[in-house]
Amino acid sequence: MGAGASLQTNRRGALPGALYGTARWGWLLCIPGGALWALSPLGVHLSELKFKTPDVFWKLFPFAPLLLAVGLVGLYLWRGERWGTLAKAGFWAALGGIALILAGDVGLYYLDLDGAYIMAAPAYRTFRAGLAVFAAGSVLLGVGSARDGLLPPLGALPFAIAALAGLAAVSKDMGPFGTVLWMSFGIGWSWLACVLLVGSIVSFRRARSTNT
Amino acid sequence: MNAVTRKQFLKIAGTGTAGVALFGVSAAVGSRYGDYLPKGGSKMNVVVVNLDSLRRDHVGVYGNGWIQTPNLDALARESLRFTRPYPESIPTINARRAIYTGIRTWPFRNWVPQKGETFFPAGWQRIPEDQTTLTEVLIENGYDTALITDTYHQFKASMNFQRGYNVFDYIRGQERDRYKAMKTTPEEEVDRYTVPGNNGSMRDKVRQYRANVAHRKGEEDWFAPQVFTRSMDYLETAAEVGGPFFLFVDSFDPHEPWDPPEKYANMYGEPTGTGEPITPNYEEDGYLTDAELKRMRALYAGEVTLTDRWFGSFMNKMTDLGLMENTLLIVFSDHGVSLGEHGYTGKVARAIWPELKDIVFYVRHPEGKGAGETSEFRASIHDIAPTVLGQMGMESPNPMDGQDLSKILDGKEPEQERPYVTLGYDNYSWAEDDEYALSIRNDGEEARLYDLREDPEMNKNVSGERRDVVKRMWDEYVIEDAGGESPPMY
Repeated sequence: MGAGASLQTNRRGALPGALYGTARWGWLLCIPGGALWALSPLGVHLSELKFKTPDVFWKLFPFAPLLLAVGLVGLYLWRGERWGTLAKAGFWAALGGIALILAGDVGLYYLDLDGAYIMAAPAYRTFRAGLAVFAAGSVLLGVGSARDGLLPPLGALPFAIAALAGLAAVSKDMGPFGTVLWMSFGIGWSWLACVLLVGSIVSFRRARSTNT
Repeated sequence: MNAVTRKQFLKIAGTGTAGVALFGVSAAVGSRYGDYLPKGGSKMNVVVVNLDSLRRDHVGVYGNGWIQTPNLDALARESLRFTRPYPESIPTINARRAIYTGIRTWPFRNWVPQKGETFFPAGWQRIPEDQTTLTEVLIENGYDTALITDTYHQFKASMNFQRGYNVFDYIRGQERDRYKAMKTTPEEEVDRYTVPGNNGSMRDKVRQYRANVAHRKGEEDWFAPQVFTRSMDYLETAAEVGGPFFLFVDSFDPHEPWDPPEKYANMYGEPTGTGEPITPNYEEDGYLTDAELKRMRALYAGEVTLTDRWFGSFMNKMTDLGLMENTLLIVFSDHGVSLGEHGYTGKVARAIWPELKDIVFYVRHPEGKGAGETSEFRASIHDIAPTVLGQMGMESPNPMDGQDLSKILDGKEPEQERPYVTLGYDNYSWAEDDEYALSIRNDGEEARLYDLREDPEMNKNVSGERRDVVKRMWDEYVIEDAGGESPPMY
């Protein structure tokens, strides 16, 4: 038995069978998660329009990274056993980035931590750091999995480029151009999952036609 | 070499097209919206202190050797101190507009004289409705904003300087504030606080003022003490509540009337035995005897020390509450006042000299940026708003003429060099560079030119001999900064 199979056994062993089977399909949530991410500038705009503040939107924003986190874990459970070091590092960085984003969002918009610590602004800084780590992790994941040929290049390469755009967007506020880059990042996640979905359907059909 | 199959080609081409289409959609949609990142970051408190009419040459750290200003001197050790600051415009209300909006008020085009006013220098008006104030931007970003002032011109019904403030605490009774019935002041009291040469307008000023302050008992009842005490009360509340705040402490002192408590009044000279010259006529100083002029200077100096003492209490309160660690502090004055240096007293528009236009300007950053250092950059009062916003990473919806001084705080070159300055007061303009200073009426007449290398005190008018310099400064500085046309005459 190879090392990859051993890892899969360990992951499978940690989860009950039905839950593991469901979680393996979690990567599909990258489609809505990426779409929500891409639409968030529109959400900010609508929130400002309706409530005169973007904060209402930012309170709801965690849904997008949460969906992506579940999708990321699903991807790992499905394909992760064959990933190389780079892709794995990307996976963990992206997951850690999402955790920081969620912590920052809750601290900033629910707990008002920065109202108490006005100079340090811990929640805002956590949020921004999380965005950067998440985007950087996504770049590593895209490049690593494309290099190792473990995700379809048609999904992994555009995803890596979109992640790079996302990294640029979160590094500095670039106004409307940054918005475009930010949206590309979200679309990149959806694109990756869509490519995997199409691949799965094609494989399933091939397998069925071979069996018949 | 492996040839690409038709199927592979179609796959790549299809993917590329889809990718371009997706990017195009995001570009088309995304470019309509500029906000995509959460807002936040370090939001330090901001305290801005204006000491109205404080002359630069009356502060120890700026070179004065005989007036006690220990607190302003101590502040210099913790601040970046500008050595050549100037007011964008004079007097009070014009300066406040520039401070609040970061937009130049000079050359006072489209001036709308306000009904009900008794003072009409050009540009003396409310903040135009189409201009956004600094505090309106700060409120949008979650700041609590407070204005505590006894500068009564701001709270006249014709004005609107409370715009953008959650709290505006107006301390009544300064100068000509119509607070108490002036008829209640006995004529002997008016005589006691005027000199025989004071004109009717100044006697009326004293009459109103003495009626306003008839209730005073202890030092705490004087105006600077009241302004700083009420500001300290606000600090306590703000520190207790938490969250970022902006506080503008706008002290009318050491503006006249100069009647500080006795210990300050006699700190720099004794009374003459006749009336006290607590208010200057805004004209040539021939109405004063030498003794009266000397006494007037001593009274003003006493008022400066009184103001410094209470400013010091305010600073101590900031320290006690731990606010020095998270508060950006800007301290400045809006203009000076003439005390006979060039034959005038008060604020006379045709008599712009250093005693009238030289101000103080400190910026204390909580992280110690620029602490103890000086800058020769010609900072102005209309730089305050962009600097505060720049420190917060915020932007004003309307462009500001002032400059963000943050780069200088960081020890770097200014965003834009300021090799010369222009300022205006009523129908007169002032231009100054490293070599010359020019005072001129807005129709190009009454030019006074000084060669600053040979005559830094500005005593010898050389406009007759150096007409070319006058023309150059008029064309390249005054007309240029006034938008290509002469400043208007009113």
